[in-house]
Amino acid sequence: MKKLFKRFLRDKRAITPVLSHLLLTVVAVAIMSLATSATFMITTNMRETMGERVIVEDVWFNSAAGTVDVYMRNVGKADIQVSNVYVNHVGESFNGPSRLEINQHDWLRIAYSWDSGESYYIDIVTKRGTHVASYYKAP
Amino acid sequence: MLQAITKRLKQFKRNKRGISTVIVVMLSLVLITIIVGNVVLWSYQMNQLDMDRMQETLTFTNMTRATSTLWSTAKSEYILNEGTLLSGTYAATKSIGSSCETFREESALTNETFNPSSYVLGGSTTHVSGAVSDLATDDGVSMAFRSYPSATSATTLYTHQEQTIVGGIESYSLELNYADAAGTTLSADAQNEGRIFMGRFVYPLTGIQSLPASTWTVYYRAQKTISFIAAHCDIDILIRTSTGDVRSTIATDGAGSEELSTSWSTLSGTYSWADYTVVDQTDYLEIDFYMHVTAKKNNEYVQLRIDDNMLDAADQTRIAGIELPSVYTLQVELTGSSNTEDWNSLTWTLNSAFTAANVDATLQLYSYDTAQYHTSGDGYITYTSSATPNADETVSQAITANPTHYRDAFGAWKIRITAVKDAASPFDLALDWVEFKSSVAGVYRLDLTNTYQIDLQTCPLDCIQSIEILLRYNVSISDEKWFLKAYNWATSSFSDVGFNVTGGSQPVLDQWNEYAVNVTSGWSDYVAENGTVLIQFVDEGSSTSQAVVGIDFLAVRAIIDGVSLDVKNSSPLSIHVVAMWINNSTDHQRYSADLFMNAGETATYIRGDIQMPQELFLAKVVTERGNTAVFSED
Repeated sequence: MKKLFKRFLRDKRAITPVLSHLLLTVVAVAIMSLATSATFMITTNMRETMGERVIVEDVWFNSAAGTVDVYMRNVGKADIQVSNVYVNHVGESFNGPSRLEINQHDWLRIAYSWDSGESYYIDIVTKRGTHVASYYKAP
Repeated sequence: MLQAITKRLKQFKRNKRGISTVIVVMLSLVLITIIVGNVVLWSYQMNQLDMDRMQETLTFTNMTRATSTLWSTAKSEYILNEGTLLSGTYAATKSIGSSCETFREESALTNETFNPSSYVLGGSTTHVSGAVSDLATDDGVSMAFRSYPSATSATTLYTHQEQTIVGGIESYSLELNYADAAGTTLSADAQNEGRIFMGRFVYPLTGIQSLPASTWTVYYRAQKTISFIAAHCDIDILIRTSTGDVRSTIATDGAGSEELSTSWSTLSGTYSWADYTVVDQTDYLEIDFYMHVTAKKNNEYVQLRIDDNMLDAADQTRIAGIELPSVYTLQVELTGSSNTEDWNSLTWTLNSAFTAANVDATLQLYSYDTAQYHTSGDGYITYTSSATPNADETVSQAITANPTHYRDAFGAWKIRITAVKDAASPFDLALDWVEFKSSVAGVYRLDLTNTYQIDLQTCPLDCIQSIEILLRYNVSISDEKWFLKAYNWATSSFSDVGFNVTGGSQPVLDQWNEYAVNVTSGWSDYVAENGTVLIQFVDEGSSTSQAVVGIDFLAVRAIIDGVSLDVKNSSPLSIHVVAMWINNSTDHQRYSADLFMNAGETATYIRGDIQMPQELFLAKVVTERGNTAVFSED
């Protein structure tokens, strides 16, 4: 038994090919892992972007507060985050939820001095680039 | 051929070119397929969502003031407390004018119980303790009676060596049973002539009222130690009180025997006992044994042997022929009152216990029809009490044939209890409960209940002004009124307190009768926290005729000051309305909603928590998918 073991230790043949195959396998697995992770990240981002759906339930030209209040509801399949609000293509500041989870709804208060009888193009843009835009006429 | 295939395979195995390229391409294709597939699938799902949303067509046709909620109808089958279901299901009572659910009244027995109000002792039965009021309930508080000796027989009393102390005087015992000890020899020095006292033996007169006249034979197991002595045995008889005093001396120097011999022998003498009435049952019959020496001798003895179980019974020292009680009897008659209604049945029940085992008891109910106590059949119960003394026993009998025979014209009734036992000592009866229960038939009843639900989501409790109950029914017999009641959750009972109508509904034959009730005051007691209203529909309970009742509609609704929205789903999809808006010039108010509508369905959505705007307004309903339907009042 001991003889056999010693003979095995002395036998140096075919070590290099084994090592090279092992290294190649490790490299291949690492590359595939990276590719898979990248794929997951890419598809997740794409899915979230595609799954964004936001509706405006109500727009209130609030004369008491001097604001345009927009009631938004997230009807999509991903959380949204409002990044910008444009009134007549001009960015305006707003107060409200920076983030709406799925099925969540709340007021978004746009600080804007509106005039009665005028129409306004209100464009709400999410962080992922989804636009919810329409014309609304002030009463 | 095989060689050619093997050759090709070996070539293929040796040829390594291009394999890595193929593997990389395959893996890349897999990754691309995953990416594309995922994106395409997701895109498909979102497109489907958008398509559904585009297909949704919701029309908001009208909005008006609502003064009540929609009728809340039965959601499950009626619970019948009395009566039976004839046909139909609860679903038939959900809408007016369709089919109906029919029920039938059933007869309910009305029980009335009575207890004895007095008692009469029979024979020499004595009342020991308790009052007749103790017989009203089976509560362990009883009325006790004691039996009396009803028959005597010639009895033998054996002398026993066991001591009994009567008023401080030690005495031997006289007992009914045979000797049970190794025996004792009572010995006296025959040094003097005359009567020598040998021993005092007593027997308690408890439960004995008299000792009838009879001839007693007194047996003496005796001897003398020397023939020179001349002596015989005799006795004194007296009655001793429990305090040790002599109440009465009955006989002296009686029942003299033959001459004693020098060996043990059984001698006898007789005594003619005259009838004696026991003065106090705590007294004792005392027999004093003597040796009457007529020729004396110092240091020689006369002896009497008692309680020797080695001797035959015929050789025992004993007194035979004493007339002692052998049967004890107890008799008591209980009387009570009842009513004079037309009884359907009668049940009489007694709960008692005897202090002795295996007492033969006879319970009899007096029949006013035959003017006697029955000796068999109805009104007659006989049994032997438990083998365990003081065991509580209940006996009962239901009489359905002519139950009114067991009361007089004024409702009076009588029960006689007779208990007999062959015994030498009395027993007691502890009577705990005596009930005389009559059942009156002929009243047909219907009593049903069901639960109804007020939707507190659309109509919170603080928006409810009152509750309205509507019943549409018909009856086959109109000889009684019908009532609606609601379960009062505060008092945990059905009630009609606070109803605008409490007098019931008098139905008219051959037509549908509508009976509407408003719970105007204290309505909140009738609505549970979850909006449940429990309604009871019950008859007056006065009819002796069996009516069939059809219920066409029975429902509950809340009286409110709210709004009613008419909406129509024209799309081929189901719609879930999640919000509604009431907008006016000064306010935009959103209300959460939860209304599902099937494809093509028209719905009326009532909200008790929204008041109808007084000025111009715009109302909207919003679906879960994000579509909005608008109604404006110009």
